[in-house]
Amino acid sequence: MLLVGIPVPPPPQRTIDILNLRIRREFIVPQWIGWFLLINLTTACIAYLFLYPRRNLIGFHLGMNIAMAAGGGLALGTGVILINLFPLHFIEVIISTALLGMVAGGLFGALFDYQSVLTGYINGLMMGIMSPMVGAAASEGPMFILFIEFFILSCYVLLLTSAYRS
Amino acid sequence: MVFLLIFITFINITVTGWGYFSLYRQRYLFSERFGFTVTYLASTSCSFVLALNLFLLFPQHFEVVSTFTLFLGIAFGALFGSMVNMQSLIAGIFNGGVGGIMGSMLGAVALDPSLCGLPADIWAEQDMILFMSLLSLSIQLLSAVMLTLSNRL
Repeated sequence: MLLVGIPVPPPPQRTIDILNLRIRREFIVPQWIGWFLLINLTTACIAYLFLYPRRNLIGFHLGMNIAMAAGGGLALGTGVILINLFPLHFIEVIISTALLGMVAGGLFGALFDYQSVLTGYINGLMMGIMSPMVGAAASEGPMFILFIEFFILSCYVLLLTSAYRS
Repeated sequence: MVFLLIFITFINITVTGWGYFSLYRQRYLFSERFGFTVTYLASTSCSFVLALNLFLLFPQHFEVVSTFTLFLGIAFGALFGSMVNMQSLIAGIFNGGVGGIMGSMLGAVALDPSLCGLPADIWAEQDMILFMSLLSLSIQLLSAVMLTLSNRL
C-alpha cells in the first residue's frame, strides 16, 4: 500500500516514514525474529558436524535427499526472515538468500557424491529465489514465521534421525 | 534495454543448446541416477532462465506469457529427459514446468513489486530489469559450468 503526498495528521503506528513517502505495510513483524536466523544456522552447523563422521556410512540416495532438504530448508528460513526484517532491500535479500542456498546445498552434498552437490545446489538456488517472495506475500504477522521455523526445525530433526538410523 | 534483453535471451538459448548437444553425444554412458540428476539440473535452470527472460521481454501480456512459458518449460524438460529412461522423463517434465512457473513469477514481481506487498517506488524499473537479466545470465552460466564439470568426476 502506498500513500504518497497526501497531507495526513501524524502517521499511524504501522507506517514507515522514508524519503517523504509514507509506506504502509499491513503487518510489521517484531524484530526479535532475527534470533531465528541464528537458530537456523546453528542447527545447520550441528547437522553438518553430525553427518561429517558418518558420511561414508550413508547411502547415496539418502545423501541426495539430505542435501536437498538441508539446503532448501535453510534457504527457505533465511529468505522468509530476511525479507520481513528488511522489506525495502528486495534485491540484496534475493542475492544473499540465493547465495546461501547454493552454498549450503553444495556443502551438504559434498559430503556424499558429486551428483548430490548438483542436486543440493539447484534445490538451494530455487528455494532461495522463491522464499523472499513467499515471505513478502504471505506474512501475516509472526505466526506464519513461527510455523515455517517449526517446519524447518522438524525437517532437520527428521534428517538427523534418519542419518542416525542408517 | 530491449536490445540487452534480446542479447541475453540469445546467449541463454545458445548455452542451453550447447549443453543439450554435449549431453546428447554421451547419452549412452549415463547411468540412471546420473541421468536423473542431469535432467533435474538442466531442465530447472534452463526453463527458469528462459521464462524470466521471456517475461521481461513481453511485460504487457501476463497471462499469455506465463502459460506459454509453462508449456515451454514442459517441452524443454521432456527434451532433456528423453535421453535416459522414463524416470528422467518424468523428472524433466515436472521440474521443467515448475521452473517455468517460477521464472514467470519472478519476472512479474520484478516488474511490479506491489504484487508481493513490497513498496513499489523505491527502485527504478530499469534497475530491476537489468538486475534480473544479469541474474538469469549468471545462473545459466553457473549451471552450465557445473554440468560440464561433471564429466571429469
